[in-house]
Amino acid sequence: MPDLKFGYAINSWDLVRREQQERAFKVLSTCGFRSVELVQGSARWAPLGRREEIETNFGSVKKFADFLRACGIDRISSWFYDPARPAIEEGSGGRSASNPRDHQGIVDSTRGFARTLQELGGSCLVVRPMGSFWREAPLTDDKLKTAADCWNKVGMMTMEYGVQTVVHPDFLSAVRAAEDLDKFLKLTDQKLVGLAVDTAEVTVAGYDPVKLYEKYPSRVKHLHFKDTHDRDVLNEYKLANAEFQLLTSGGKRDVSRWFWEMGTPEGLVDFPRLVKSLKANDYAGWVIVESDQSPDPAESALLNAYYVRTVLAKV
Amino acid sequence: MALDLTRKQFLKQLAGVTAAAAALPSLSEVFAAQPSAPPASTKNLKWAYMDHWSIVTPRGRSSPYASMKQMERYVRQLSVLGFTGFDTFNFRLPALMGMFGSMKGFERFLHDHGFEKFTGVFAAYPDSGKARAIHVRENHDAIFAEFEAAMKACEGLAVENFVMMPANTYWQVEPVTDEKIKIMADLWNRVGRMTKEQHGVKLSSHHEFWCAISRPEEIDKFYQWTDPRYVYYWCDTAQTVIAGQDPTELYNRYHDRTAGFHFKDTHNTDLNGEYHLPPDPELIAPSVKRWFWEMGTPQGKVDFPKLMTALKQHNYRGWITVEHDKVDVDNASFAESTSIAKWYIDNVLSKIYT
Repeated sequence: MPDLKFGYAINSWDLVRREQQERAFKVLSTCGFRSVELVQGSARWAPLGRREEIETNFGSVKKFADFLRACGIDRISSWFYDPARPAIEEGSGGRSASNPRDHQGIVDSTRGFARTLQELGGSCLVVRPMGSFWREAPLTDDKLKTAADCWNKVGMMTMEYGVQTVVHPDFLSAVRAAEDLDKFLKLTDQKLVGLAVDTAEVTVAGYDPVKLYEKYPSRVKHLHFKDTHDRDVLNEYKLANAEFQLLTSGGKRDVSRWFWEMGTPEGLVDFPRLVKSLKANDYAGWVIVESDQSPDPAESALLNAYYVRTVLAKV
Repeated sequence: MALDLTRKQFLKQLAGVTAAAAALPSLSEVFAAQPSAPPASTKNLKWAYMDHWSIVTPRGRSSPYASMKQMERYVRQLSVLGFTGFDTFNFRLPALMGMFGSMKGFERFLHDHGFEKFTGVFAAYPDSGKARAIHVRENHDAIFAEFEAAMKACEGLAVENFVMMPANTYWQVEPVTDEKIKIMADLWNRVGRMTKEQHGVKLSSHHEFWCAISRPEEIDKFYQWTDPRYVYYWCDTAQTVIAGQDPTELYNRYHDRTAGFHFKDTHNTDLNGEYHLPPDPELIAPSVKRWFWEMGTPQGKVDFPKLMTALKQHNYRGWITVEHDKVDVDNASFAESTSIAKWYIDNVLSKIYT
């Protein structure tokens, strides 16, 4: 691995059973990815989705850490959190950062993630800044300000645990256009809220992730590395239920898979250029590789590891 | 205890067998917390991969041989796991020559992906058909010619092993007499002399649990009647355990003529004598849906640490080939199975011998 800190997001594996978890972690360890990003989840389908589920399944966070080490994983680097997702454990059907009445609930909810991250050696809480565009539209300055206030509060809280909060705009998110992201970042406290650049999400949304990084080099504290072969050229992110209509089923163009491993010939993201820029700017955050929408997450992990070792390590 | 079923009885029984649900593995005891070792040293052992791979695609399972794009994805995965040798079946050679112009071209492709070499070819005649009964002398010229053609296809490469199954399926040869074993030994002496003297390649015998030279006394006679200069032993760990034998004992017995290994695991031994049931005990045994597993599953029956200790004692140097045929029986991922096997090599076996 090059001197950047690489980890892997485990969001594409089926992790319900313990042996599935063990196999996924061992695959990543064998690939050289010894730090893992978890994804928030709730109840019985998500044994690694939140602190309470980890405690229920392993007995304690410490025992989960022992399990990770036995599989060859050193730490949980980060955790992805979307307030809109239901949390049975909190009696919540989902919250919104653009709703001020939800702010305290979001702060309380994220505290458990920050605390657990601290105990597992992690340093980053990756959050979806606002709901999908079709839900939030019209996007007003007031909504942006309200959402920014929410993440400032969360960022302040996570600092207590040595955890950096970063907002992760995706291609369906209300915060996706360059001018909106710019406004949003100005409304957040740069000491409390960082930016996560997801290479594929940014590209599908029609932007260049390298330019985005170079626009905010000091705000970018976290990266997701994955590739794409397509852009949302029909602006279908505006469709109702875009999560299903576009992300899952491919939209009017029937895009079979939005996200790909690094190193495919059709890939649109210029990873070597981005890594060069990261090194020039002494980037110190995590680079989390992802394989969303892969029909075979292990295959994607191996292909990504090959690309990191044979291409990115030489940049 | 063997089940003495007739073919008709067997087929009737088979028709009544419903596909057993894949046994979900129980929660395994994880290894004591310890840092992982670096990838296995190449000092004594080098790791090769035996080619059974298939890829999950939007069009269903597909082969790496379907396109250069899929071949590229396949070989990248083996490379990043640290395999530096590549073994395949003789029937794959025409496809490889078609894709790469020649076997030399394929080996260049392997070199470009960090491999050392194309290490071995595997051939078997499970079905005797009309003209491939190995225990019938009249078929020997044709079989010899096929091995010779495969060797010619690999000319110019530093292939080390030609691995073969020494007999057809058990039921097609029964009764397995000394006379038949001697006839088969004669063929393999002839083939082995050709591969060794003309191509510098060791011919090795790989004893599937369902082939007609698979019982201990048959194996002993076979090695007694074959020339150690021309016929080597190939240890397939899972096949040996399924046949009720200990691969370490067999290796200890034949270590001076062992050319290599297939390291794979099994969750079952053949307790019912299904090895001699027609038509194919490996694919459709009544009691076991999937015979072969990657190293590192909790239910694995092969004692790999014991075998590695024996390798160390005999100062074995050379290739060990990882194999997991039948991953696709459960529609599982070859990428995942191979990674798990390599994790086991790096974190368990390499602590014993590298």
